[in-house]
Amino acid sequence: MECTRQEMMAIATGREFSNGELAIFGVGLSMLAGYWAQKNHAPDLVAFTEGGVFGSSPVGGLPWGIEDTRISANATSFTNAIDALGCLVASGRVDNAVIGAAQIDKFGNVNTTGIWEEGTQPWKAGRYTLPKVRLNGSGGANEIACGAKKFILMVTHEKKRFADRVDYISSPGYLSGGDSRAKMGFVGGGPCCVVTTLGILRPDPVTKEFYLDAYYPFSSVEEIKENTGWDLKVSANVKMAPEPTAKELANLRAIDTTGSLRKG
Amino acid sequence: MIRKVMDMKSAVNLIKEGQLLGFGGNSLHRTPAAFGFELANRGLKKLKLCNTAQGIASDILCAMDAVDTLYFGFFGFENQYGLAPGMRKGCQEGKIKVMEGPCTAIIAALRASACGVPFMTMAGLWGSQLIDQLPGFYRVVESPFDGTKVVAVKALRPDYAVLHVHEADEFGNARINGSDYQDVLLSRAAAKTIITAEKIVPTKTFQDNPKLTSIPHFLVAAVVEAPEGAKPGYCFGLYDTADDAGMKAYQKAVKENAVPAYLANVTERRA
Repeated sequence: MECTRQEMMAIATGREFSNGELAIFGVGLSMLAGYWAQKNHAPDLVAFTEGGVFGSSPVGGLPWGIEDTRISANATSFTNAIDALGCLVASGRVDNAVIGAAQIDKFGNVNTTGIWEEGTQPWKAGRYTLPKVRLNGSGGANEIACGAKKFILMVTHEKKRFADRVDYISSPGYLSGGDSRAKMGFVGGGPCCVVTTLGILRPDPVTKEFYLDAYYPFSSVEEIKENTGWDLKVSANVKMAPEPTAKELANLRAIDTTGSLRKG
Repeated sequence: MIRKVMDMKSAVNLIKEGQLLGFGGNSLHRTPAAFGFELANRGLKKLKLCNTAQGIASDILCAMDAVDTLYFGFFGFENQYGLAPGMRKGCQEGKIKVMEGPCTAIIAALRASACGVPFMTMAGLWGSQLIDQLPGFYRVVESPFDGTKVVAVKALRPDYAVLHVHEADEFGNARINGSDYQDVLLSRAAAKTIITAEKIVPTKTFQDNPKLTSIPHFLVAAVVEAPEGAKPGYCFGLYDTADDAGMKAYQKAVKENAVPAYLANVTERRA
């Protein structure tokens, strides 16, 4: 089936959700992936937003953020962020989530804080230095990265976004790899995969370094390696992710009423 | 969403010996009495109960020797009906250990659990014997920022919150009219919540006014339709005052060691 890279990314992300999970979908394209999973194969997937909107089924196009009123359609409950993030996420109730990133690294750490000139990153400079580009910050992603039982990273696959080490850890993945995250004692388990516009990366169970697990019908191992900023290891069993079925794509386009995923 | 409607017996059967339960409401108001009566019939032992101000649902379990530990700020039947006879008897006979707090300390313990931290700090409390005598529940600690003293209250995570509400749908979305006391917090602090509701209503009721939803469905393990489920206590807007004859009959039963007969009578009438 003909589909755009973003549609493939949304479907590959949505396939990571199981029926009955309690989830936070995030905002933007990841939200379409979540609502697609609900419609496609996980009718009892339960979602809420970090702002405390529960059980909604957005209408009228892609909500631009968690404060967009379109996100409230058909909601069964409204509370607030203290409840949603401070209690339900922080105490470890959430099964699965999606987090986006400006930059990630080979251990799945997330940077949404800023981009620095090479050599001036705070971890290299040993102090806080001024960023070249100041980004919009962690938002609720840090709480989700620490508290969700697992989470999916959904990132556009570009070399500048896939760094050997992120300039700044806004939200923790597996930190410096191995057992470094486990030692932190988070209630949440860490990123289970990175789903991109080119393929799917998964963490090595021991080193926690992300390797290439699958490419898409329209991408290749070579293209993915070229667009990754570290020497990406490739699974011995690397495979093509199943092409979207007609049903999967029809369900996605029924959710993506305004065609947000068909633009890219 | 998953349907969770069941009868009272099935909901009560979710509870296991030794578990920590948080019954909602406040003293006589929205105490989950029908649930408490049915649970008292089961003969479980060593239950632990926590909430700020407990009511007849808790007291009858004390009267039936089902409880070994209580966490409360207040446990009584107010000016009209006096001391809680089951609790009083269990404590005076040394069968029940009480972890007493001011209500806010119980709230702090529940907030800690709701937020996923091992304790919650609060102001005040020191100088009372509550602190000195319960080092397993309270400690005075210093702020790492400026040394200010605060009291750390250990988290309480109930296995179940049991809440009597006005309306619920078959999935567990629940609405409380009037004050919710600590019920919303209990649902976030507990591992799971059991809802007994005056009435089962369609989900659209919640979608029409989501701001009025007290408990979202995914926190809920069971929904039981229980009209007049707080009696002989009361329920805001539906039956606004205690059932005087019922309260007196209960007190008389505890006084005369006739609780099993009382229990048989009230549960038979509900069945």
